Amino acid sequence: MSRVVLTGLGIVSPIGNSIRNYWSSLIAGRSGLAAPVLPSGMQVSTKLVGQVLDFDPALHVAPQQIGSLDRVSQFAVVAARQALAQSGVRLDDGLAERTAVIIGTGSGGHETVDDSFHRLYAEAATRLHPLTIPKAMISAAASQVSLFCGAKGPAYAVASACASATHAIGQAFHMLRSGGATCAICGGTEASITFGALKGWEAMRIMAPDACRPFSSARKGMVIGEGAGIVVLETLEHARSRDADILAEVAGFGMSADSKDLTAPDPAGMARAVSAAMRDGALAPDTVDYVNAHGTGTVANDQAETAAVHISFGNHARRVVLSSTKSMIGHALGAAGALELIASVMALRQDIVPQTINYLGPDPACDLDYVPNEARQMPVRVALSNSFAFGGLNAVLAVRKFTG
Amino acid sequence: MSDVAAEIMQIIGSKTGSGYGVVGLTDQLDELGLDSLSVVELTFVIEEKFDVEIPFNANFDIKAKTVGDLIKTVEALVAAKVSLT
Repeated sequence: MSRVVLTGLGIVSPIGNSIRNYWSSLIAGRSGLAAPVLPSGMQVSTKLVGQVLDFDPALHVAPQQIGSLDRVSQFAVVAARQALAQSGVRLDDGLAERTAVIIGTGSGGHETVDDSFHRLYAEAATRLHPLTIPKAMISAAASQVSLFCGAKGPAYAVASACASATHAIGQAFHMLRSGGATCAICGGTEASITFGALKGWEAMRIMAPDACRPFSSARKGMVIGEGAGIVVLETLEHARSRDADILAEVAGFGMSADSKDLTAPDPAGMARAVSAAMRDGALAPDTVDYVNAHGTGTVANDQAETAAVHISFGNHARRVVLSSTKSMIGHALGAAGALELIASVMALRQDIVPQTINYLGPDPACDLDYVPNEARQMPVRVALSNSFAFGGLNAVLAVRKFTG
Repeated sequence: MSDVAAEIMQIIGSKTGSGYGVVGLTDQLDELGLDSLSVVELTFVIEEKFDVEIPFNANFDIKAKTVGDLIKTVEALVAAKVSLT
């Protein structure tokens, strides 16, 4: 089995569209959450979202191509190009066919669906844009990344709601480890801050009206975000052969299903995924220093996740530190796992753990160290990134400092 | 009992499966065997029935709310709507 390493990171987020800006915002505790900006006349009661506001597709995509990409694919292509550029990988003839593209998304081209149906139902339009279907399909971002980057190996989308990106990266990791590909461009993307989707989220009655404060007392729910995180994975052998700068090693990946409830989280199911990731990487719990928590800020998730960490880590739960970067970027749904894995990789590289902002004080049901309100300098050997989706689909990645 | 109260009791009774007449005004919503998603669905059904918007967040509005509290809220919203017309 091949060892698998990370050599490139790319990002589009509410707090920066480069790794440098994203990371400096994260450790400074800068929030990207604000009132939603929507087309006029679209009234929502949602108070806060994590929107990507300074994103101009024209800077990245040729004018004749923009019309063929939904915002969700634009994000993915921009992040993929950043990741490829950092990795230095050149997809020439031999490698292109050995390079996989696996992209997670919760809802695909949501803006295209929302706009198209609004035209039909509200404006009584009689025709739609000819690319409505290929822009909206859930695999559109995977197709566009393969097109723009010239990757010709296995390519497909992964959908598991809020765990999509983590499942996508995990599958790419296992594919490389078992010899199915040499290189992978993988991650997640989401752009569903639309009128229709926000009304759907509002109907669930779990949105925070004030701030996203995961694990804190007086937390009042989650905040929807958007963005894309794409990473380049390679077999260690390939990365060494071209003398690449190795950012971290992917150590393990675990998955599970709660098989319990459509929306209520289950600590036992979460813990199975956490433990599976550690087992997959032959990692003893006490070697894990940091967990980038799923930490949505809902009452239910945060107490269930805390219970899961107790189950998986035993005595070490009191020493491992958790933080939720969603407190700053919101919940980017199908992209969340990739944005958060990138935060975890940076934590390994810099030996700094980003904080959970807006933390007011402990909740008796959340009794761990959540790195409240201030980033922490500390050695990080191994980090986990947790993703727990609606429908009880859980996925956890483990990354390790690369030491040769 | 007002019409609003009677209808809400009926809706809750059918949601919990206990039937009309079993649910009491002092029963707490989270103790009727309804999980938070069911209470959210219940709120939706009542909003649709009376064409009102009930302020309700499943993170912090469920605990210690009784059937009577819910009826009072909806009655006030319905009355406010009538006074507007």
